[in-house]
Amino acid sequence: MRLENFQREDLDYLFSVTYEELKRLASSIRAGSATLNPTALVNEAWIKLSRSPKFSADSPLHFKRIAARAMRQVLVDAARRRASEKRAGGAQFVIFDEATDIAAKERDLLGLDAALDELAKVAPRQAMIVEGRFFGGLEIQEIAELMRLSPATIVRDWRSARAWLALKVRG
Amino acid sequence: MDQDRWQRIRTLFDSAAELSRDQWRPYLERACGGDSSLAHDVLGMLEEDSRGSSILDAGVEQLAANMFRMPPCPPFQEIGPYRIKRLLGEGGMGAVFLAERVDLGNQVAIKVLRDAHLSPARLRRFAAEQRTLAQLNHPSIARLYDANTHTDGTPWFVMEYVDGAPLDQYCAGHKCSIEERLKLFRTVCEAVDYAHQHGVVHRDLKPSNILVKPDGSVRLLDFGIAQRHGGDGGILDRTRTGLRLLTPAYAAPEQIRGDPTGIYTDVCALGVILYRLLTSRLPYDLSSKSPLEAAAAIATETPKKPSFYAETGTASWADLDVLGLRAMHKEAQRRYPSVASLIGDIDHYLNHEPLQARPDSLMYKTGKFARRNAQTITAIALTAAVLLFAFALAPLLRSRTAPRHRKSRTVAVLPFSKSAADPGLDYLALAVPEEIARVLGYAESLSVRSFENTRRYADFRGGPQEAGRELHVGTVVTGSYAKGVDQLQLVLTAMDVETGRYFWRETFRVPARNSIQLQAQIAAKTRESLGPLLGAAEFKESAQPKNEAAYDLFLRATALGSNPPDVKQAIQLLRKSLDLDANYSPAWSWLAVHYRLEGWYSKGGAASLDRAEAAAERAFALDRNNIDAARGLIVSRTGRGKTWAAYQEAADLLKRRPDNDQAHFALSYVFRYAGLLQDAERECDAAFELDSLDAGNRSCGTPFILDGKFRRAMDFINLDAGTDWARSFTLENLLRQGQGREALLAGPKYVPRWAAYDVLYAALQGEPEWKIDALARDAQPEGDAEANYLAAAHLAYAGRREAALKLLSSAIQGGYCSYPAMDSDPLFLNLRNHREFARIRSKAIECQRDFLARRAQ
Repeated sequence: MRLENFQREDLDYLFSVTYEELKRLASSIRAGSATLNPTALVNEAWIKLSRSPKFSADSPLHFKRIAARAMRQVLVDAARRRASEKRAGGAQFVIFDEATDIAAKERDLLGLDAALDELAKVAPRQAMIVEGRFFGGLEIQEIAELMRLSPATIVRDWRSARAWLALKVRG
Repeated sequence: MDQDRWQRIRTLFDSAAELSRDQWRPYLERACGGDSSLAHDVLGMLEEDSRGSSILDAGVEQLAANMFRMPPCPPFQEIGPYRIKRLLGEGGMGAVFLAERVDLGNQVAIKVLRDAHLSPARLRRFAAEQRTLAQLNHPSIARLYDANTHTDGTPWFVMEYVDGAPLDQYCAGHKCSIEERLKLFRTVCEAVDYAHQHGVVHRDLKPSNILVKPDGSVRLLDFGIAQRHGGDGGILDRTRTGLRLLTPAYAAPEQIRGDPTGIYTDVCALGVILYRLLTSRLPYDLSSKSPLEAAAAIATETPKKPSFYAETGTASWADLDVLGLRAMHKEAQRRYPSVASLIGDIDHYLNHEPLQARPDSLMYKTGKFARRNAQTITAIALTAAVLLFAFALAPLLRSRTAPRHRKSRTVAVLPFSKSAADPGLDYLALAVPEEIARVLGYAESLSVRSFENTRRYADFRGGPQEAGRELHVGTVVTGSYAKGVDQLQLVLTAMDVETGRYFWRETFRVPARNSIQLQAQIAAKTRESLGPLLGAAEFKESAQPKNEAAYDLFLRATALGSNPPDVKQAIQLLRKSLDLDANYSPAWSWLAVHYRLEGWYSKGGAASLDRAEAAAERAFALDRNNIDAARGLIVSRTGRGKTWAAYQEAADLLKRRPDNDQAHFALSYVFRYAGLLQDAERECDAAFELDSLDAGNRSCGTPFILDGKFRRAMDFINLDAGTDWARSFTLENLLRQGQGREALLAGPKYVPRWAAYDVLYAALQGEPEWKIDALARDAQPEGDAEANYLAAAHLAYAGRREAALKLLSSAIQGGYCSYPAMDSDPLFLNLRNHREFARIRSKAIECQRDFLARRAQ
């Protein structure tokens, strides 16, 4: 089934399910030392979810695009949650070094999220490319296929978007 | 930033990026023409671009590391109007605090779920379900006062604070006798049964969730929280490892495997609790086991009988063994079908009567009988012995041999494992077993589980033997496929479920992209090689696909699901397929199924139902031996008011396939529309007996609802538990028990297309009259006669007489002759004295009389 044929509630549903699955996968590895690898997570989520007849006819690429969005949301929610817990004084047991390190990451992540939203208003295609590549681990070639554009165009789009976002987040 | 500005930034950046670093500034000064902020921005971007050390270059791994590390609990001191006082306990799922309502000063228990941010969709569901739970109003269920989410998304629940001891500790502390323990346990069962009757399953029953207060009264905690936290019975329930959230000791095997759960899951947990109460230990010793070993023990180990641990006493341990082990049986099918039946046997035990659970055995039954009538029995014992023997032995022998014989002839075909290398061929994992099941279905001596039913065993963790046990079959057939360069290799296997041994294996290759040859090979291997091993020598003539492209489209359609977009796509594929090959019966049969779904649940209406009927006629005309086609035709004809024509096929089908649950269901369907409720119930019972897991029999709940047998109705509705369909029929059931408020909460949030639901919801919620009137105007007759009947009942309940009568009239005109339902349905209470109602009723009587007269001929 092509993504365009999905009804809105299907997309919502797919997003929701993917979100929950990523969330589950992400928190299941948090105890170990393994770092979170988005490509592996998205792949694992896809393998699980594609067993459902509801999604099995959908292509992995379309799924990855939605998974990228879900991944972004999972991370941003986690960052927001941490930030709010800190305000409530819940995180006092975290070792200091670690705390500053994570705090910087939270700031970066939330900054990137806001900047991406801003970019999406003026250049939706570029925002989508960044979302897919950064959060979903999609390759240039895959994005090109999905958007029916040449890889060269995607690379150009990515480069200027990345530069602008980097400037914004650092700023 | 606006689009123009971004365009300028991009153009400048793209051009400058081609230049060397020392040329950037001169170029930008020239090109920006004095817009220094523009030049500044682009320059910054160029710097970032050359540096390549931004957050986007580091990769999301870096950013996300540690993001999910949780700070210690509790994260907050105040929740809503409650102030947390102290920690009561902590578990895998979260923590429970004693709290005080700031304004009122009363004590409550607050449970905070750990690590549970919710997606937006989950949040909406959470809100709807907590209202349902708040309505569980039973003396033995701790009240849920309030539930909400904290600002950060953590769900919390406010519950009645129960100062009591966990059930097992209470019994140990008070040195309760077996009888006292059973009575306490019975109280617990009643509360669980009450919840089941309201469509709520607990899923995490354990002694620590069951508290006994000092006065001896019982409170069950945490109803529905596990369910809510765990999911909606959909995909997530199956992918999540059950162990993370559950207390493994009391978990059912299906939870360990991550399979669908239901009331049988609670029955199992109750069995384990009973075991613990009787023996003061757990059935499986998990103390020294890793989680994985514990899971394996629960799924495979056979516990010792409770009597093994028995201390001497007056209890009849043989019966207690049956009670406990039957309730916690590994196979959901073999457990007590409901908590009510478990209660029944507890009562039997307490009254020294024979249990229902054990199959009658001569020694056992007479033994019980003897104890109750100790004096009288000795006198007649000798003379009666011979007679008893003669009477009792015959049924005993039958019951021992008949099922085994039948079981060896029951087959389930399971989905194949997918080939990771070829995602493009994934549809084969469902389409090939579907084909095998179809071919086997042509052997009249076999009973093949409908593939609709077995397809949920895709990637089933328990393996084929366990699946076969759950499905209650003698043989499971499954296999795999792999794609070579230009060939497709298939492996088909069959396993004897009892021994777990594979007794058949066939490997063959067909050219890739030649699905006709694929089908021919599958059919030939199934018929010629597997068939004789199953004792099926004779296969009826079955349909052959003739056109390559047509068959390929058909296979792809059969792998699709039943949600509206899938249905739409399946119809397109099947129509294309039939354009190429109009003589392939299974394609017509599937087309009928999808048109029917479109007619019922999308916007298809009568037009789709007519198309469904036409397609079903074609399917059946082309192939009278296709049981799906026959069932489809009967359902279609019945729904379009052709009750008599449907009956003839149904009676004929049942004569040919008396051991098939679908055949009984089809006949019950006709009886239901003909208004012969008891006949319908009888056939439904027979279908349930043959296959008590077939979700295709779910609508058998309807005759029981209309006949006032609400408890039995839930058995059928729960066959499809967790779906919106089941929710809407739980609503119908509760509505007729006078529980309007509960019905509103148990029903689906949103019922597409059915205006009568909107009217009902509006009435239940006390919306203003003008609003209900406006909604009632939208309630127009639909294609299906029974749907019109149910809609009419909603409108009648909402006090919309005219609209109700209009729909009722069209229901009866459409061939729904159920005047007994009209007579007993409490929703028509305010309409019965209406003259028009009497007229419609007489039409219904006429309609049924017509049917009966033709049947008598």
